[in-house]
Amino acid sequence: MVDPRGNRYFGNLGYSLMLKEPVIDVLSDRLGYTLLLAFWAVVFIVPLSITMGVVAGMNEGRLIDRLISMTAVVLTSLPEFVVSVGLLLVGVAWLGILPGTSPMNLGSKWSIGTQLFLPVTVLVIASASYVSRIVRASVVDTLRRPYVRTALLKGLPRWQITIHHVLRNAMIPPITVILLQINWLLTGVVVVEAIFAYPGVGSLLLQAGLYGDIYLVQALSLLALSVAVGTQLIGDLCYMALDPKIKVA
Amino acid sequence: MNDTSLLTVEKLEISYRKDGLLLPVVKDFSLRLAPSETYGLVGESGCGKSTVAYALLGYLSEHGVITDGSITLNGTDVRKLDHAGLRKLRGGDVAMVYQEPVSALNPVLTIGRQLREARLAKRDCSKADANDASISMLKAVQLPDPAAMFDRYPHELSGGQAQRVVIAMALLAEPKLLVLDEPTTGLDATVEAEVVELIANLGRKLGTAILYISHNLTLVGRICERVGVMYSGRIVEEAPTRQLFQQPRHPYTAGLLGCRPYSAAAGKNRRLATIPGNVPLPGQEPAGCSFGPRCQYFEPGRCDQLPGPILEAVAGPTRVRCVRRDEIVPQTLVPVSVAHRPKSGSSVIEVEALVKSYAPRHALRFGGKSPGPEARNANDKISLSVKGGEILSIVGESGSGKSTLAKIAIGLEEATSGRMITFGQDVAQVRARRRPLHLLHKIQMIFQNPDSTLNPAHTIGAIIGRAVRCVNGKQSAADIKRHVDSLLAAVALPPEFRHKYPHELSGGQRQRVGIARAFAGHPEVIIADEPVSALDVSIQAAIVNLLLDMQAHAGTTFLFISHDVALVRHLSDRVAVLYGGQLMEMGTVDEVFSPPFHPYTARLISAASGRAASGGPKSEGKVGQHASCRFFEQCHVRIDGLCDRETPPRREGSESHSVTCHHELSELAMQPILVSETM
Amino acid sequence: MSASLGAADATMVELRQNFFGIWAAIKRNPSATAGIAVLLAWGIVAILAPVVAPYDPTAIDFLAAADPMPSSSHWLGTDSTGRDILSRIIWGARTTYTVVPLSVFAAFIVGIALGMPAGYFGGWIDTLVSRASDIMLSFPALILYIILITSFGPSLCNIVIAVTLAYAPGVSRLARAITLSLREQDYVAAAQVRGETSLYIMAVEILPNARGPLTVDLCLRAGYTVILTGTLGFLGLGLPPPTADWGGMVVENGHLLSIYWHMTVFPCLAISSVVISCNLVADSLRGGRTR
Ligand SMILES: Nc1ncnc2c1ncn2[C@@H]1O[C@H](COP(=O)(O)OP(=O)(O)OP(=O)(O)O)[C@@H](O)[C@H]1O
Ligand code: SF4
Ligand code: SF4
Ligand SMILES: [Mg+2]
Repeated sequence: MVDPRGNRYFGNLGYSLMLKEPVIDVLSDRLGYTLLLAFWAVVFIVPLSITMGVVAGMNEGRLIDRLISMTAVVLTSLPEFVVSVGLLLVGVAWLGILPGTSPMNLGSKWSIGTQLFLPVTVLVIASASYVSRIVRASVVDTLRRPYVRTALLKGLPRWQITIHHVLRNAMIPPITVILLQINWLLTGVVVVEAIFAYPGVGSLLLQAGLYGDIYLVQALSLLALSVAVGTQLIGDLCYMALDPKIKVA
Repeated sequence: MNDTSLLTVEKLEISYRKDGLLLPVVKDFSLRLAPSETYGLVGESGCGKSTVAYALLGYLSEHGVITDGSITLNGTDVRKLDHAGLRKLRGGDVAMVYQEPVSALNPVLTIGRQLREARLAKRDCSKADANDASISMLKAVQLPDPAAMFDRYPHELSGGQAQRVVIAMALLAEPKLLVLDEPTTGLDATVEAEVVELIANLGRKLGTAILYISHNLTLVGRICERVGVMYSGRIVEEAPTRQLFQQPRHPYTAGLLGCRPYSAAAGKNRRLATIPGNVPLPGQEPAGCSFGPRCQYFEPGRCDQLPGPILEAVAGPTRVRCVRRDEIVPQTLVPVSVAHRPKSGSSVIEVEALVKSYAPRHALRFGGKSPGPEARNANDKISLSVKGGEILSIVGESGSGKSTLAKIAIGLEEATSGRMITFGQDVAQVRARRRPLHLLHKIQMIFQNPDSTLNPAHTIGAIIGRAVRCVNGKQSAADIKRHVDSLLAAVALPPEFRHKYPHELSGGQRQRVGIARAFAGHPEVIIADEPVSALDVSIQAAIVNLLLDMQAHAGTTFLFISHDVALVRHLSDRVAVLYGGQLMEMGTVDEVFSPPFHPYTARLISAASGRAASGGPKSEGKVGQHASCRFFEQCHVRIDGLCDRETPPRREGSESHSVTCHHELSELAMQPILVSETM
Repeated sequence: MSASLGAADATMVELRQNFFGIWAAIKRNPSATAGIAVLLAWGIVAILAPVVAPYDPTAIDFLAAADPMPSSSHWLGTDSTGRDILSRIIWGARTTYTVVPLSVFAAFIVGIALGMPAGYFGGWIDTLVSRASDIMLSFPALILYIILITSFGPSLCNIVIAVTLAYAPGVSRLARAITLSLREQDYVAAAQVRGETSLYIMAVEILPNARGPLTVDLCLRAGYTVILTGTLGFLGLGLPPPTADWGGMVVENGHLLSIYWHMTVFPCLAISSVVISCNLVADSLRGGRTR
């Protein structure tokens, strides 16, 4: 079943030139680590960015908003490798409490948790700051809608206005952006994985590209496309659930 | 007096913060309202009506501040209330109905849910009770099938239905005062008439005091016992309705009454009475009386002295803000010249069985084909002809296909079938891009929206200059400049306007530039699509006069599209009535506006005079796409089994008059129709 | 007759100010002023690089490499081969200020040239352009670069092509959306009915009015491009060594981070200052609102 010249058979992704292994095996190996990293990143990104965005948006123009927004602008502006360098400097070089790389070796003296810490933190900083800006903008926009005024002038209590009228509507537009982040986490985490020597799909892509491993690159592109299609589908389903204007015809 | 009043506003002043300055937009505003009284507040755009309305509910938008005065509602001082107090006030003492009902409703919650909330905010009761109350309120506002309505979402409602829901929501709080801010602006005339009637009836039945805010004096006159007229942030006249209409005491009120089309002052003269000039912007009011620059009774040395006139009583309950209140009895400016108009010539546009259908839009779908909505005919076998030099008006409500017809004529759309022959050439399926230039330049258009008719990136001079160059070909810069100046002069704008950008102009001025642009190449036909409907009442009249003058002067053929029945009646030679894409009636003004009426024409006319057609189905029923007569669903004299099966015949009343209906003309002449004498 | 109690008016006023005085909008916002100042300062540094750089950025100096820490002769220290960090950062500004404007402008020209006709004409042109850009956009940008640059090799031209390919679809989508809404404006109809050509309408009637949102997008994308070129340099896909390149400097010296932090931190600060400035300017043009 394995053809050393890398020919493709039906249902077979080919044979990696670089690793001398079937592409499918390499992929399934790496995908597990990528899912792990993406899972922990999402667990922090979503609640964090929504909280920050909502707090900033609800307090538009106040000190707390300016603090959050300014921080978010600065953090989104930092390239991932800059954030990584900063964290490595503090956590590894100065404090010495974290590992400098995360090859996810069970045998290493660092636990899996400590190995995951830095990559996850970099991803959360890069992504949550961006998503929180989108959430904030959406909240600010919703607050200006006439129906929020209607709710206020009906004499509803504040919490009810915030939850049912503001947040319920404001959460619809950021869905697309959150799904794009998931898209990126599943296939595009090249820099962070490269820096921390993390054995995920992103670093594999870089290696494959540099090596010129065409079958691997091809398989990874296919993966990227199917993830994109998948998140798009999930997005449509979310919109359908949240926005009564969109119905399955 | 004080004890019996529900609402007392004293010397209220409200300002907006702008660039670090406080600009007062409501000044010296006092108002007293007895329980269950109906009071109308009238004024043009930007005069501060909405600001006052929201202030009564203790709500000001982010930059607004109350700088002086007091608001006492039901014994409590609104300005002193904290959050909890405001909540109680809004949920109980006062409720509001908004101008744009569809956007005032939360798009992701059901109607029922939003109604129930309003009830629960007001009183402790179970959800079931609140649901019951909501449903019976939906019944009270005469919505069809209240139980089904309960589970619908706002986007599934028409404008009129949404406004009924908003009214129901306001009434569920059982308020002592109901504030309505332009509740019918943007609704079709027939729907407007029905909503206004509903408000008047409910107010009477529930004993709620009503503050009705509108820019439409006539409309307010129909519902309210007393009327206050606002100008530039101040009430300038306040009087019982009848008195105000019979003898306005402030020159501005008189002007407003006079510039309504087809009013007594205008008579059969085609020009409208006008109020010259523009409303001053906040912060740019003249010293003394802010109406001074537009007032024909202005007296230097008195009217322009600080601190300006105050609101004082003349003759009984009438109060007027004018230093010359005891000397003058204001008359409306009767227009001076009667436009001379050339006789109608041979036909320039010939429309034959024109059909335009729009492909339906599909909602989000997964895979497979599902039966979507059927194609919609925006124009359905329309045939008519436009004669050289005449003013032909096309009247109908939104969605009746007026604009579609105009767009096909000008080449912005192409017809699906049928013929449109302009100057001997069939252009029904030829877009502007493919039409010969000489033909394009013969037909020009004036657009509805002053905000989008001029390109904000170019100066007025460049905009008109380009039109001049386009039509006249190569010309020297000096020639073009001369031409532009003469066009500006023709629309009564000073030549310095060449250097201004559109955003520096008022709506009326922008519309004038749009007219100048349309006339740049001496077109033979001008199509004006609702040219004045986005303008203030006092500006409308001047623009209509300008159009009439230019039309008469150049002998241009005029296709005038409007939903305003009174205006159409005022200025047209002939009228075509459209409904749901079909031509319902066609004839000279006199023929269309006197019996026999087509049933739809009858409904339009009675709506224009403020009456909802008694009996018969509601006006916001859907347009019958399948019935043979489009008006079937709403027709009050329909013949079941005939009108929905067979295409109604076109009945000729005279050479120029035709009605498309199954009823005989003699039967139609007997129709009960409510036309009041003011119309 | 604004229903929303002037909120819409206020927005309009703000938009117009943006439109007619991008400069005025920036001035009102101190953080944007700071952003502009930083961008200008780097621009001057980039132009004057040969004059202001104290050393040749590629000159290897093993004597200096013996003690690379910042000192009076090398203010920001040297790297492990003794090249002066300050000089390399100054010349790196030149690299950034060549690659970024070139590639962003190329992306905008291509994007607008595709997006405007798509929005204006609709039909098959639109279908073609929209489908193509959808496909490009659903692909993580970095994969695209890696494939492109690994297949064609890192050079200025290839980087510009890569950025153009990656960003042009986004720009064309924006240009299409703006055109779609602007072509419904009455002034466009007026131009059509007096017989103007489509090219004239797009260039003279529509494009000037798309200036506002396009400028904001341009600032944002310039920021991303700085990140991206830095990242490419960092991944070893940037301009070939020994060209001074900020991202490349980080990777060249990253392994020495725990001892010689200055080799990595200063280029990081340089990149960040440019990106933050771009974002601040974009934010202020948007009237302080995100999105
Ligand atoms: N939030 C705001 N900030 C600044 N100025 C405002 C604001 N809201 C309203 N204004 C200004 O205050 C004046 C009065 O506005 P208001 O909305 O009360 O007028 P209105 O009579 O209701 O007009 P319309 O008929 O257009 O509804 C206008 O000049 C308006 O531009
Ligand atoms: S005060 Fe003078 S300017 Fe003002 S309305 Fe009276 S007469 Fe006219
Ligand atoms: S044809 Fe029938 S439904 Fe149509 S207007 Fe006449 S009576 Fe009414
Ligand atoms: Mg208003």
